[in-house]
Amino acid sequence: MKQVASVELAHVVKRYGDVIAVNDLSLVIGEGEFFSLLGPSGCGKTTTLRLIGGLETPDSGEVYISGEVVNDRPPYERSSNIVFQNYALFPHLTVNDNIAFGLRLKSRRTPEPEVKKLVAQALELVHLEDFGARRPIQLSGGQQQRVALARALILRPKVLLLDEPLGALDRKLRKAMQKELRRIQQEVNITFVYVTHDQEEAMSMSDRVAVMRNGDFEQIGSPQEIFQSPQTRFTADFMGACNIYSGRVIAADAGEVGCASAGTVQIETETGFTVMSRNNLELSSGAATSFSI
Amino acid sequence: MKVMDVYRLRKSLLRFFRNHPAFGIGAALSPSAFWLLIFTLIPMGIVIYYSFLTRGPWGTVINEFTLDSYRLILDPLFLKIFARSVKLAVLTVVICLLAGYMIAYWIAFYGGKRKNFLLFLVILPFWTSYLVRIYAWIALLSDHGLVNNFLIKIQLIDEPLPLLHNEFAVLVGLVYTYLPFMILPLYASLERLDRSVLEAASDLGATARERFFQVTLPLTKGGMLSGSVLVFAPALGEYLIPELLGGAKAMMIGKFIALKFIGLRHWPLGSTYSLMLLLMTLILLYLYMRVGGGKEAFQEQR
Ligand SMILES: Nc1ncnc2c1ncn2[C@@H]1O[C@H](COP(=O)(O)OP(=O)(O)OP(=O)(O)O)[C@@H](O)[C@H]1O
Ligand SMILES: [Mg+2]
Repeated sequence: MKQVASVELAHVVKRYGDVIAVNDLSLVIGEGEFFSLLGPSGCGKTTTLRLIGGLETPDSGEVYISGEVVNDRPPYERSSNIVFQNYALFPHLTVNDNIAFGLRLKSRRTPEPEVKKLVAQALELVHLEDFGARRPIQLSGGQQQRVALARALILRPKVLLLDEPLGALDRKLRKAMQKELRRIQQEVNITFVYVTHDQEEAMSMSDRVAVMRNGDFEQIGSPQEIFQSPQTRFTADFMGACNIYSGRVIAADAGEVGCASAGTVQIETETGFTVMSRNNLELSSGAATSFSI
Repeated sequence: MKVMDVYRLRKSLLRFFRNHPAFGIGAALSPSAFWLLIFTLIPMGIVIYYSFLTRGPWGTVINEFTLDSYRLILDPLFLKIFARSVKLAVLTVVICLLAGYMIAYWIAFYGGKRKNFLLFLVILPFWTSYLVRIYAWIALLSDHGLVNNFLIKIQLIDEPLPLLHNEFAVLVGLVYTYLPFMILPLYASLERLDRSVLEAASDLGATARERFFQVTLPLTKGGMLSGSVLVFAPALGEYLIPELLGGAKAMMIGKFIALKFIGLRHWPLGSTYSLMLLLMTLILLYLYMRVGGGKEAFQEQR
C-alpha cells in the first residue's frame, strides 16, 4: 500500500507541570486516512490534537505535517484545522461570516465573489443552506457543530483535527452526523484525526484506531484488529469485552512461520478450565495472559 | 424614615397596585423597581419640580409656577462651558479606553496568579479620599512641584512648564480618577472572553493582529461601551477636579451649576441647568450606543 505520511509524531512528549499528558508518542497517519484516537477521559487525546494543530508545543520530539517539521510553526501557519469540542464559533459573526473567516484573512485574501461561492458550497455540504444569516446563538448544538465543520473544511486543510465533535449530541443525531462526517471525509479526501471516547463511534467510522491510555498508545490498528484481537487487557476492556479471563499458556503451537493462518494456544485459566485459542501473538508456553470469549 | 416604615411603605404600595390593576406598572413594582423609585425617580422628581418654581428674595424659593429658568438655558456662557466639559469628558474617555484596554488586557491575559493582586492595585486608590488624591496632583504639577523640579534638574527645561490651572491639569485629574471605572468592566469582558474562540481564530489562520481586531475587540465591545459610560457621565459633571486643578480658565459644567445654587442662590435655575446636563448626557450616550451597536454588544456577552 502506497502511503504518504500526512501527520507524523516522533517521540513527542508534553508535560503540564508534573502531569505528563503525552508520553513519548510516535505515530504515522497516511494521507486521506480517517484516524481515530480512542481512550478514556484524561488520557491525552485533546493534547495530542493540540500538538498537531500547533496550539501546544511539544517538550520534546517532533511533529511533522506532510513531511515537514512544524514544531515551531504557530497554528496560523499550519495546514491543519481543528474542529473544537465546544465548536468555538465566533458569537459576533453570522454563520456566513464564521465560515468565511479564514478565507477573508490576509494570508488567503480570497476575492469576495469567490468567498460567497465557497461559503454557499460549504453550507450545502453540511446541509445548512438556509441558516447563513443566523448567529451561532440561534442554532442548535448539532447545527453549530456543522458550522464549525464547514468553517474548517472550507480552508481545505491537509489535516482536519476533530475533538469529540459529536460529544454533545443525542444518539440519533449522533448517528446521522457520523454518517455525514464519513461521507464528507470521502468526498473531500482530507486526512481526519478524530478524537472520541466512544468506542462504537471509532469502530464504525475509522480506517485505523489508536487506543490511548495515560498519554501513550496501547494499540494501533484497524477496527477489526482492535476489536477481534485486542493485544492488552486494557484494550479488550475498553472495547467492551465483558468476559475477560486470566490464565497461563500451557501449550503453544506457533504454526508454520509465514503461514497465513494463526497458530493455536492452549490456556489454563485461574479457575481450572482449559481452552484452545487461535492466536496471532507470539505467546510461549508458561506465559501469563488474559483473553475474552 | 425608619427601616420598618420603608418596609411598610413598600408593602402598602404593593397592595395598592395589586388592588388597582389599572395602574399597569403594579406588576413591575419588584424590589429593584422600588429602590429605583426611592433613590432615583423621587429625587429626580424633586429637581424637575424645583426647576419650575419662582425664585424669591434672598435665595428663597416661592411655590409658584414659572418658566423663567427655562428662558435662560441658551445662556452663551452655559453653552461654552458645556462644550468644554464635553470636550474634556470625551478626551478622558478616549485616553481611559486606550490606557485601560492595555492594562485590562495585560492583567486578564498575562496576570497569571497575580490577577487578583493586580486588580486590587487598580482599586487601591479608592481607599483614600478622593480629595486628598486630587490635592496630591497639585503637589505634582505646580510650578515648584515634583514634575517641574525634576525636568529642571535634568536640564530639559529652564522655566517651569505651566502644568497646573489649565485644561491639561483637569484632563490629567479626570483620567487618573476615572481610569479604574474603565479598567474593571474591560477586565470583566476580557476575562469572560472564551479562550477557545481565540484559539479557533489562530487555527483558522489569523495572525495576532488580525485576531485582536477581528475577534478580541468586537467581543469586548460590551466592556468598552459600559466602561465609556461609567467614565463619561461622571467626568462630564465633575465638580472637584476642575475646581482644584483647573482654576477659572478651565471651569466645567458641574462648577457652573454649583455656582447657580450656592453663589447666585438661584435654586430653580440650578435645577434647570442640572436637568439640561442630564438630558444632554442621555442624548450623547444614546447616540454613542447607537453608533457603537451597544444593544447587540451587550446581548452577545451572554
Ligand atoms: N492546560 C493544562 N494544564 C494542566 N494539565 C492539563 C492541561 N491540559 C490537560 N492537562 C492534563 O493532561 C492530561 C491529558 O489531558 P487531555 O485534555 O489531553 O485529555 P483527553 O484525553 O482529551 O480527555 P477527555 O476525554 O476528558 O477530553 C490530563 O491528565 C489533564 O489533566
Ligand atoms: Mg479532550
